[in-house]
Parts: sequence; structure tokens; C-alpha cells
Amino acid sequence: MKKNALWLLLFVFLVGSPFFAIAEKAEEVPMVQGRVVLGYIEHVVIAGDVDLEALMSPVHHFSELGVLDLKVKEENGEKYASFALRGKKGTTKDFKVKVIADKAKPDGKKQPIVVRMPLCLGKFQLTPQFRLVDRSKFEQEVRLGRRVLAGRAVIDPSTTHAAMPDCKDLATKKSSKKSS
Amino acid sequence: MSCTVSKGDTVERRRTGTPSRGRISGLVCVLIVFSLLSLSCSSDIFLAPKKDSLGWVEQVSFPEFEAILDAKLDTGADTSSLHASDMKLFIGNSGKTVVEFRIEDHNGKDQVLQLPLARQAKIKTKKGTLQVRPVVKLVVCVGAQFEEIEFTLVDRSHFEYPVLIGRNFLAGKFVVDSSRSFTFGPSCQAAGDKI
Repeated sequence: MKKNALWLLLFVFLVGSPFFAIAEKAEEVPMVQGRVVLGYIEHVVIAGDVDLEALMSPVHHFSELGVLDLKVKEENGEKYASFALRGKKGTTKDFKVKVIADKAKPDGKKQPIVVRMPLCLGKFQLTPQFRLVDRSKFEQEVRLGRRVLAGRAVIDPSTTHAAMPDCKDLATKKSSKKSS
Repeated sequence: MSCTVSKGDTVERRRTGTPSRGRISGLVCVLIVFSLLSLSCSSDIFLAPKKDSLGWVEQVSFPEFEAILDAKLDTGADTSSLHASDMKLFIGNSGKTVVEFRIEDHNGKDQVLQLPLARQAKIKTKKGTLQVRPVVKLVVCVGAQFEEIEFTLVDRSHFEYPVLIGRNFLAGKFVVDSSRSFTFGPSCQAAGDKI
């Protein structure tokens, strides 16, 4: 009886081990030439807890963030943008952020308001510049351009959601929410 | 279990129901070798094949009309588009709709082309509005890969690059690296033979 049980265990190990190996390999993040491979659409987290979807667009230099109720006010000589973000779950969160750029072009056309916002993309934790725009006619609220992607990731146009947001900041916030 | 044949015949004793130790050892050896081979290289067999990496801008060629143009590789776009001017639609001799349009290659050489209209497409512009554009099928060579795909014809004269290659070509073939450009030019020798 014991002998048969041992033979059975050995059989399961020998036959099953390749499949365990594949499963383990599949969990590793794919890389190409030292860069992480992302899909053309990814989940991102803005400002620590606003879940959004982002379109990876290497043909655009700048990144965009779709906002609601955008207003710009001046306080103590500095410009601040107040706006709301609507996350995937439908809840909105209000923000008031210092404006980096708000200049008119030489032809008189106004440029979008630019601010810095914390972003979690895969394991990357960044604070890139975003143009605040109306993206209500697009499927993704965020568009990430070359200034975010260059040197960090390559984009696989046949994949989406290759890397879930996994930043230290997020983990800290989630654990503090659970404990409270 | 053993059986014995009666006296006068060749006595045979057969053991049935239990494989020999030699056979079991052989099976175990095969399984061990298989497992070791699988552990070392199976992931490469079962995962998707590796794709070449291209920059966000590359030179592409259109073998049918021997033109080389600069193209943006846009993972954010479903379809591809080609700058065309002087577009006209008319009914050809076959009774089907034909599109006539002018293109200019990277040497500034003009060509007027007439191609069957594949369909009309509604494209979402960057302002979010919908625009109707004629669609034709063309063979395009990017890197070492070529395929006949649909291109929407549009006036891209206010853009820096006359061609935009979207996911309808890129998916399954390439990954796009935003930090690189003009990594290698079109090199599809087989494309010319196939047309």
C-alpha cells in the first residue's frame, strides 16, 4: 500500500512538474530588450486611489487626463486647477492641483492646462505631467504618451491589461484602509 | 497468479497482472528525462512567439506603387491611414466604385492612383467627432513583414508623417518602443514576388 502511494506521488510529480513550471513562468512580467511589455490598454491608478483605464499612445509626446468641471483660479500669485476625476466604479473625487503650464500659443490658441499627478502603471510609480482635457467621447479616460512610456515599456498592440497596478504606495493605502 | 500446463507439455509459468521491474524503471527514466527537458525549455514552447521591436516612427514601403514613406506606429489606433490629396470617387468600368487619389513619397515624387473602394469608414477624430473616410486595401511592408490591410484615405498634410500604421497591421507582429525611431527600413523582398 505504501509502495503504491509512493509510486503515485512520484508519477504525479514527474507528469505535473512541466505544467507547474509553465504556470510559474507565465506569472513573470514579459520583457523585451530590458523593457516591460504593456498592452495597448492598461489599468492605472491616479493619485493613489482613482482607478482608470489608459490608452498607450507612443505617437503622442504628451499624456492626457480626462477631467470634469475644470476651473482655474489664482491664489497668492499661483494658478491652481480644480477638477473631478470619475473612477471606473463611477465615484468621483475632487482635486485641486498647482498648474504647471497655461500659456497661449503664438497664434493665440490656448494650450490645455498642464498639472502633475501621481500615476501607478504596473510597477512604475511616477508623477508625470498631464494635459487636463475632456475625454468623455473616448473610451479611456487617460492617454499616456512618449514622455511616460519611453525608456520604461514597449507596447504590444495585440494585448491589453498585461500589468495590473502594483505600486508600493497602493499597497500601503490598501493595508491602511483594511486595518481601519 | 501462475498457471501450469499439464504433464507432457511444455511447462509454462506465466505471471500476469504485474509489469516487470525493468519496464517500470524504463518508464520512470522516460518521465524524468521528459520532466527535465520540459522544466528547462517548455515555457518557450507554450508562451506566445517573440515579436520584433520597432520604434514609434519607421519607414514603410508600398510595393504596389514603389513608394517609401515615413509612418507613425500607433498602438492607440485600430486602423491605418494614408495621406491622400485630390480624392475623387467614381463608378469604374466594372460597375464598382473606384477611388482616385494623389500620394507623394519621401522623395517628393507624386503619383496618382486608382483603387477599388473597399468601404467607407467612420473614424473618431482627436476632437472626438466622427468623420467618414474612403477605405482602400494596400500591401504595406513594415520591417521584414508585409500584409494587405485596409487604409483610410485622409488629408494628413497638417501632420508630420503621411502614414499611420494601426493595430490592424501591428497586432501579432511587433511591439512598439517609444524611445526609438527609424530602427530599420522596410525589407520585404518576398512582397514584390507575391503581388
